[in-house]
Amino acid sequence: MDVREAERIARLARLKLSDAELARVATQLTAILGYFDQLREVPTDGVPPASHPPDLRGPLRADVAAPFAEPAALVRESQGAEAEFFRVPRILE
Amino acid sequence: MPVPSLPAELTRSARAIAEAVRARRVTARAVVDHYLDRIARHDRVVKAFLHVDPADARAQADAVDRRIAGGANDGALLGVPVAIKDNLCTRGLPTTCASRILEGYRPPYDATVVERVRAAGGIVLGKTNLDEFAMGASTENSGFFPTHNPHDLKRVPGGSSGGSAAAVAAGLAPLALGSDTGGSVRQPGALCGVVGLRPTYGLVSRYGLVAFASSLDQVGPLALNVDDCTLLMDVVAGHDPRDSTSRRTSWSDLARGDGGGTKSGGTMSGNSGLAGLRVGIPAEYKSSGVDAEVRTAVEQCEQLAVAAGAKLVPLSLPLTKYAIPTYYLVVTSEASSNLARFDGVRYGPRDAALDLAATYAATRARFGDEVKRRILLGTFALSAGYFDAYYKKALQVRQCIAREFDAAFRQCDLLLGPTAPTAAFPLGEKSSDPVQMYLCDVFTAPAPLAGLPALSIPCGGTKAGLPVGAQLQGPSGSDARLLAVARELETRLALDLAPLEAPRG
Repeated sequence: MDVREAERIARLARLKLSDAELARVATQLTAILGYFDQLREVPTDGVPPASHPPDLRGPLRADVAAPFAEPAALVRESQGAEAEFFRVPRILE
Repeated sequence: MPVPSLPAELTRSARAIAEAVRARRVTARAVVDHYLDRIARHDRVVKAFLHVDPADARAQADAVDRRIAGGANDGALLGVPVAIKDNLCTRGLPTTCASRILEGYRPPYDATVVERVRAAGGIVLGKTNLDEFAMGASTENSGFFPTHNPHDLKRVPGGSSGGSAAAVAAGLAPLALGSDTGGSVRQPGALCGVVGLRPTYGLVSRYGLVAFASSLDQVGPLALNVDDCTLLMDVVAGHDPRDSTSRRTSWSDLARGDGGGTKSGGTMSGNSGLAGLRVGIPAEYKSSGVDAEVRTAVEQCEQLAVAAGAKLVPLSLPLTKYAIPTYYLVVTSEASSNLARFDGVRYGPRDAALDLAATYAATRARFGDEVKRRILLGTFALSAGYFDAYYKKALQVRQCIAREFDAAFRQCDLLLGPTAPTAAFPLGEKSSDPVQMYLCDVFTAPAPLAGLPALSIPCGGTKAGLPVGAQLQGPSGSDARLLAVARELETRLALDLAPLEAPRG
């Protein structure tokens, strides 16, 4: 991974890195990905991907909303709280 | 005014504390004062806690004492202080995940496990240090300060639940809760000489646990001995409708031995101990990367198991070495998604800038290096063009690793090996090399990938006096059986499981 690629990924991740950080991260990620490449040795043709522990059966339930005791307290924790809303900078001109 | 110490038999057992408080031989207030005093004297050097609110802890204790005076003496944890890892939400108390991005955040609700601790008469003693967002194996990645191993203050306590493990080992709390994504309860348990359990995925509620990698995260207990570990599981385990991954299986059914167990119809029945058990010994767990002293201590456990009537079954788990890359691809991918919510809008500090994107970036600059590295790795692994080669490939290998465990548990009832390849290492030794740090998880990362329970118990020490942990892994739902077997091994090992009088070195 070169510095330009690192910069592209950082932008996707909403992270702003200094030039020095980008250079360091590019080197480190290259080393880590190189180590991860050993996974290619494992034959996986036709193996279904396991995005969660394979024996977990989804415990389905009725989709019923349950009340939260203090919704206002959740909003109050935000530094942009305004009444029951989160205030953010303008996103459309 | 000096605080009178608790009798030694109480400092060795959380269960004994609860019994003594129930019988009114000691007040909850005296118990809490004892631990607050120890924290005041020793946590300056151990640095296990991020937040302790003595007035709040005393108020909780007084409430328990009033409850008992009023005749209500039920509750498994009456007057027992519990240290809570700082990625579990505690109503009105700071919950930071050891991250500057959550500095000052006080959630308006308790995690289900915290709620259950309080309902059982337990005291929330304080919030313990961790690697930021639980990302690390040494607690050096805390955004605030590193925790030190009480057995040797120049060494790491392990991680990421290093604060919880160090607190129990140093006698700053009789019990603690941690979280285990790839070994974060078991490995610090091993390095600090305490018991740590990673439950079967879905057995303990994660409502109120700040999400790191949702297909792997589990909350687990840390304790001085197996009995106390079981005591805390009895309180926190069980179905919670607020966690969509929570299993319907009841913990009491599992604990009775009729709800979990081997799909293959293994020979374990009920919660009997080692007699007649087939104990799998994977060749890969004795690889050259395992320190000789660790290997010797674990082999002693094998011999004790044989003496107790177990049969050792040598076997091979050839995919073991692929667990680390598999785990780190899964964990970073999920983390990059889970941590997207930390942008200054809904919780924590907001570093306001000209527009929304700049505000996100300025606020997210508060993440530490390891967190940024993992977000970037995960974002890369999920990005167009790389998804199949990295993320999807890792999920397929994950399936293969789970199948390999299934096959192993047709040959044996549980697996025995080291929890970590080495005893506690010096602070700073691995902090500049991410891959070296990741390799600490070589024996603890496989079980979470398959959702399996695993626990670490102290099994001896090195010549330098550092603790060594042995790991037991079992099939899904075998948690109670692992605890029963661990208890028998613990009895046969006959180690002194008292907390340290004072931190060393």
